[in-house]
Order: sequence, then structure tokens, then C-alpha cells
Amino acid sequence: MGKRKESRQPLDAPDILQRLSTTVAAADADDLSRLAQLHEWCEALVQTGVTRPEDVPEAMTEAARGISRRLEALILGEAADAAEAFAEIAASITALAAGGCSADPAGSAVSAVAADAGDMPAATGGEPEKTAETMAASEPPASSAGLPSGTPALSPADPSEQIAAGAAPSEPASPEEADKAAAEAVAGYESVPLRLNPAETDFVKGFVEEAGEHIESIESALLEVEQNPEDRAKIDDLFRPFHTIKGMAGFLNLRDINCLTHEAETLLDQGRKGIRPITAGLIDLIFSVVDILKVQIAAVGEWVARPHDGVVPQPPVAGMIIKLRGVVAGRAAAPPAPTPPGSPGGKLGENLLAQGAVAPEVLEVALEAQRAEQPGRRVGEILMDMEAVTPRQVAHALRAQRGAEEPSAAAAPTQAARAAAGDQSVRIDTAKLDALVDIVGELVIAQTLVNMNDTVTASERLLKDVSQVTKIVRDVQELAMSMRMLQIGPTFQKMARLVRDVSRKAGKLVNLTISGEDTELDKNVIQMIGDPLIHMVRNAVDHGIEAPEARRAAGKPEAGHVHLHAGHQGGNIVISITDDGKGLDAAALIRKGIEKGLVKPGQELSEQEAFNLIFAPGFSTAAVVTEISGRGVGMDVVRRNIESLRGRVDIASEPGRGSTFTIRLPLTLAIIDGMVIRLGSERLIIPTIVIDQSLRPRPEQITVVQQRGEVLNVRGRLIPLIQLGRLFGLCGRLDPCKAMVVIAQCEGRLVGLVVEELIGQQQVVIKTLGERFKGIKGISGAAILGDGRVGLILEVGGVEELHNRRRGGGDEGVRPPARRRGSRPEPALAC
Amino acid sequence: MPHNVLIVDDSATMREMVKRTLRMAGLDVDEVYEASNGIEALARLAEHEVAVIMVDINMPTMNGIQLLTRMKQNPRLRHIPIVVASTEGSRERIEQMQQFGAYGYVRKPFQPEQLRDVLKPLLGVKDHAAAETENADAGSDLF
Repeated sequence: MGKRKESRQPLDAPDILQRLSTTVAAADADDLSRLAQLHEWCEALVQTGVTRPEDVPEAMTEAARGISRRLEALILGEAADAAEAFAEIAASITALAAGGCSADPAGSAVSAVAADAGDMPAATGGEPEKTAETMAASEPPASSAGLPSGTPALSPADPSEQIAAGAAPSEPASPEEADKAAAEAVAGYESVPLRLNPAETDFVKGFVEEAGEHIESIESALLEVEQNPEDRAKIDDLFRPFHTIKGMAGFLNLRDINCLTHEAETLLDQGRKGIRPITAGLIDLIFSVVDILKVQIAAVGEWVARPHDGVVPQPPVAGMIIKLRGVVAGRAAAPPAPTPPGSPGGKLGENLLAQGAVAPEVLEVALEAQRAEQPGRRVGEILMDMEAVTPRQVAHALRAQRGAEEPSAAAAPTQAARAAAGDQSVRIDTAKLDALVDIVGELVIAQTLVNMNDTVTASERLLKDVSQVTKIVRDVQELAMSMRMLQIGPTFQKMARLVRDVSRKAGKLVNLTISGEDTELDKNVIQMIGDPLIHMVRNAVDHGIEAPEARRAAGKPEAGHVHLHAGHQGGNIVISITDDGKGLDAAALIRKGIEKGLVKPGQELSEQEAFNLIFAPGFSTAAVVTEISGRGVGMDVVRRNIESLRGRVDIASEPGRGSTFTIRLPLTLAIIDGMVIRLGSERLIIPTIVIDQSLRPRPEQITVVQQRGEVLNVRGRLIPLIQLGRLFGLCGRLDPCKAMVVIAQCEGRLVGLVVEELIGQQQVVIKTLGERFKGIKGISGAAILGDGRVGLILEVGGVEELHNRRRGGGDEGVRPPARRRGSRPEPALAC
Repeated sequence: MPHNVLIVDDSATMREMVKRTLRMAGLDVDEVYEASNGIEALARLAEHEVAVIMVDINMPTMNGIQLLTRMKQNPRLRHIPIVVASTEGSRERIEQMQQFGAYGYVRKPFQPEQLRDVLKPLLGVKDHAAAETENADAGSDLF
């Protein structure tokens, strides 16, 4: 196309006229494509007339221009009577061609055009076949040469660059490494000037915010520990936030904070293990650490406000770190707690007053508030609410008071402290959450119906208001859905333990690595994916990874590697289990399949089909069923579980290199991506996750095979065709070559579903069919479509079963009458 | 049936980009044909068998909506799934295109993965493993 314009050497007029007359003979009024071709030739003729007036008489150019306009109108559907308009055009073209065929043909221009690889702006006329072929044949890198030089690459960057960028993640120092570093620096501690990377501002900001929350929980936990020094659980509560801060600080290279928290943690660990009594002095020391931490974090916070790449000023920590190390090493005792002023048994408020922590007027206000509004609450609590005192001051005052009051009473302010720390989550009964999602689903449907209402669409004002409501309803839906989402991390963590146990038992060395653990899945999916995952990980270790000797012999590291990954891919969640073990041996699988009677001897199986054999019931790959894997629960159960979640599992494997099992699941169980298809007047939805491809077959691709009915040959694969419309009684038999075939996957097999039309792809909210229609084969639910219609969601496994049963029952060529077998009537689905 | 794709867009750069994206997405594509407006697109359809058409909306001579409308009215062409690729991404626009008979909608600029999600159920994937890795790499870099 563009090549023509670049070269400015259009075809010769006689050539064009020749094409015009042959094309017009084959065209008719509703053959848009041929009309467009004619239009193209006419435009080419006009172009030639303009550039080489000596070759084309002006009258001819004008005539071509006129025909071109009329063709345009016809193509755009503007002609009042298409047939008549076409007849006129055809006559004009014939006349044109008859008048101009005498000129000397010169075909050399064609090759010159094709050889030229210029840019390709819009143009009309010319030699489309050549152009298209040339361009399609060129590979992406080569075809980039066809772009005007100096054009910035608008397309995603060069793949190799992407790979390089993706493969070089900055390796953060793990907390463990930081631990080691801290332990090595036994005696002294010297702060290293802190430099932060402005590119990481977001991370650092997150750290500052989160650390603040942890400091708050440390303070409230400290108070509780002080009240109950024996309570291990409370010390654990204290330990955790320190550990988290330490980890995050290590990750961000905040060495001072990392070391400080590390030392505090060591001290607490001693306390937790009972090596060191939790004394008031120790608590005080920790409080001091908290104070220093706050200052340190505030300094980082200032940097976040104004990021720069210079040195970040840090308040000194060395003194405290050395002091802590001394205490940890037993060289120094925890300082004795200073006896707080205030009398034992005295009132808390008075003690606070005596410590100078609170002004008399403030205390007065608090006491007033206690009397008037909150008789049940403690003064300390109220004061902390007012932010008049710190938890630490309350602790001091309480310590002074201790012995005089019951411990339970003293615990009250600590609850307040916890409340102040902000309990930022609420536990909700999952049943309520499910009900919410359900109701919101109904809301969305009701909303769609309102949207479709004629009264609404007629009034612009109303439409606008309703659209606003629609938007909010969709937000609510999204929010409700997100509430059910949980991270897969904990599930993956369980696998770490499993790998450890299984590898020991099997005498193998296996490293497990995990990525994407923060991927969120629907709560129900997480619950149901656990068992299949355990099974597959166990298989990877037991069957996939070889024994250390075998690995050494194969030139691989002795320790095998299993990688668990979770992530999003389009509208799906993908979980993969990759091992670097021996891989699957397709030939061995087929032999085994024949042995087990799953494969007929001589049956040709693709590699993928061979791999899929391991999902067949009663198939076990290990020569010897081991104690670990061979426990009756087969991979067939795994696949069934995954498919019941509307997911699928695929295998990729290379002998000697390892295998990857990929599980694909819908984001939630409430919504699926579906392809909407039409059969008669009905709309059906096929989940896109099971679709392999869709096509309109050519007659030669279809054959009728004995016992199998119609099959479709797609690149050598023979796929049975299912007349979906007839199966469900929605329409008669469709000629696949005049309809469309959607090829769907089910338990590793492919089936071709003959449908009338592909309507489009859309996300639908699944509604179950309820008790009454639960048992219907081939239908798993329903959904309200964008236009307000109801569409039934297909379940391909059921469709295939239904199809096979009907076929088994009679001649495929005849639609079975509402056949009733025994006491189990076939659910009729004529709707 | 060959897995041919026709790209209809008046910008040569955009056509080139879509073409490359098609390859990168690991889709099972044979030939890629191009046209710079609706009429050219129809002319290409006379010459080649096409499995999927990707159409821009704003084009001279015959725009995307006109092309959609004419194709859907035409018994010879109505079965070919049309995926609209446009910079306009409002829900109204998408719903409007669906009403005109568009099979799918991709908002420009798009990532290979987005294109793959729409075209996969139509064309299929050439090599599952290759497509996965391509996507993983593209994904980590682009999102």
C-alpha cells in the first residue's frame, strides 16, 4: 500500500483496466469486498491519471473518479437501490475498460514497486497482494526497517531489553543476612552515613507509615508485658513488631534501625526463653529503644518529605546499641527501674501528677469527663485518648500504683492503648461476606435491568443519573469482591514445610522458592486449591526431582529446585509449580497408558496428550509406588478439583530438564470471562478459560468418521464436532462451514462446538441455577448479559458427556426425541 | 482454515505495532494483512481468507463503525469476528461498539497480554510454553 505512494509509480493504466473488467464481472451488489477492490482500482487509475497524464486521457481519469465516488456510496450503504447502483457502475466500468485497453502494457513497474521497502502511509490503489505478502512475510525485527527512519519505537520495547530488565531484580539483603552482619560486629558499633535512593521513596514512605503502626503496638504490648511478665504470648506480641521493623529496615538498608531492633529483639528473645527475667528495668530499656526508634524513623520520614540523594542525617544510636549488646552479653545488668514518684496505692491521676506527666488542669478535665460521660472508663484511658499522656507515663504511674489495685483493673488502660494503636481490621463471619457478594450480584442485575428500561434511555437526564448509580453499584461490587480476597502466601508457606518433609523422607535435596505470594485469590478458591497444590508439590518432589546421585550423574546440582509462582494473567490467576527434575517421558507415559488400557496400541498421541495421561484415573508414573505419592489420590482428583473451580491445568515438560504444571483459575468464583455465542434466539456463554480457538472450517476440514460422527481436522488434530444447538434443542443441525466452531478443552480433550455466531467476549457475574436445575448436564449457571438477556453458562465436560450419551443411544443423524431412559429423564433444555 | 489477521488502521506505525504485538503475544497467526481504511479492508477481504479483523475507529474514507455496520449487514462477511482497537476506552463506547457487532474491544495503547486475552479464544496459541514466558517477561517489564 504505502510502497505505492512512496514509489509514486502506480500500475499502468491498461493493467488497471484489465483488473477492473475481470473484477466487475465477478462482483455483485452485495459483494462488499469486490466493490472495495473495484474502488481501489478506480482510485489507482485516478492516481495514474494525475501523475502521468500522458498515459491516461483526462476523460478517463474523470470517469474513474466518478465511478470511485459512486462505489464509495454503494460500499457505505448510501445508495438508495444497491442493485441498480451497482448495475450502473458495472456498465460504466465496462465502458471504461472497453475504451482504454489499447495502450501498451508494461508490467515491469510491479516488481519495482515490490522491491521498494519504503514507509507505508495511507494510500489507495496499487498492487495489494504483493504488498500484503511482502509485509506479512517479514519478521518483526526485519519489518521495523520498513518504518520511517527516526520514528521512535512506539511498540513495546525490544523483547530482549524487556527480558534483561525483568531478569535483573535488585536483590535485597534478607533479614537473615542483616542478622549475621550485626552479630559479627560484636563490640563497637559505628553508624554508616545513610544514603537513600530517591527512586525508592515509595517503599521508604511505606516503611515509615508501617513502622509507626508497629511502634504503637510495641508500646501497648510493652505495657501488657509489664503487667504480666510471665505471659509468653504477650512477649511474642512484643517480639513480632520488632521483628517486622527489623526486616523492613534490612530490606531498605536502614542499618541503624535494623541493628537497634535486632538487639532489642535478642534481648526480648532471652526474656521469652526465660534466660532473662522481665524486669521493670528491662521494660524501661525497651521503652528507651522505642524512643530512639521513633526519632530515627522521624528522620527517615523527613527524608521522605523531601527526598534527595545526599546523606540522611541520623540521630545517634551507637550508645544504645552498645548498651543493649552489653546487657545481652550479660556484661551489664539491665538498669534498675527508677522508683517513680507517687505513692503505692495512690490514685493513678495523682501519681501522674506527682510525676509531672500531666498538668493539674488537664487531669481535672479528664476526671470531669470520667464523671460526666464515661463513668466506666479509667482516667489513664481518657488521658491517653486526649493525648495528654503517653503510654509510657501511664506505665510508670501504674507501676507506682501496683499492689494497691487488682491487676485486672490495671489492664484497662492497656486496652485503651491498644485501641489507640488502632485495631485496623474487623473480623467478619464469612457467611455474611458471601451473602453480601450475593446481594450485590443481585443489585448489579437489577441495575442492569433499570439501565435497559426504555423510560431511562429516553430521558437524557435520567440516563445520566442512572449511569452515576451504575458506576457506584459497580464500585460496590468490586469492593465486595475484594473483601473475599486473600493472599496465597500462607498456602505457599505450608508447601515449604511439605517440601522439607517429603524431601527428607525421599532422601532428596530440594530447595523451594516462592514468588508472587502476595497474589490475592478468592477465599473459596484458596480453600479449594490447597489439596491439589499439596498433591502437585509432593509429586514434583517425589517424582520430578531425582535422587542426589542421579542428579550428579546428569550433571545437575545435587539439590533440586522447586519453584512455586502465583500471578495474574489477564483475567486469570495462574499458579505454577516448576521443578528442574527429570521431566516427563512421553514415550514411557504412552507405554504405561497402553499397559493400563487407557491407550489403544497404535493410537497416535501428541506429546501434550501423552502428558495429560497422568491425569487419567488409575495412572501412576513412578515405577514403584512410593510411600509418599502413591496413596490412591491421583492426579485425576487434582484435575477434577481444579476444573470444579472453572480452572484448568496444563503441563509443559522437557525430558531431563524438568516440568511445569500450570494451574489457571478465574479471579473469583463469582465472575468469569466468557465468550457469548448465539444459537437460534438463545445466547450461551462459554468460559474463555476452556476455549482453545474459534474458526469457520472449510469443507475439506470436515470428515465423518465411523463411530465418531463429524470430526474437524485442525492442523492435523481430529476434533469431534458437537451440534450444540441440536443437543439443547435450540435449533436444527448447522453446517459448520456456514457457522462457527468453538474449540474447547475438557479434561485434556478437545471438542468442537458448532455455534451460529460469536457475539463477543465479556465478563459475567455467575448466578447459580438453584436447587431445581442443579443437575442439568452441560450447564453450570446463568448470567445476565450486557443487553439484559439471560445467558446460560456452558460446562463443556457435561456437554461432551451429553453428546456421547446421545450418540451412544442412536444414530447421530437423527435428533433423539425426548428420550427417557429408565427412571432418569434427560433434563430437557428447551428454553 | 488459515489463521490470518487483517489490521485496519490509518496509521502505519500503529499497524506495525499491532503486527509486532501479535507475534509477541505468542498467538497462532499465519499471515497478517493491512488496510488503512474500511474500503481497503473490504478489498483485502476479497483477496484473502481472514480469521479475525482488528479495526481502528477513526479513519478516513470509511471509518471503523461504517466498516462494522457494513460487514454485519453482509451475509458473506458477518461471521468474521471484529476486534475494535481504539484510544477511546469509555464503557459507553465499548457498549456502543458491541451493539454495532464488535466481538471484542482493546484500548490503545495495549500490552501484548491484553491483545492476547481477546484474540486467544479466536486464534488459539501457537506454543503455550513460549506464550507464557513471553508474557511473563513482558508482564514484569510493563506492569
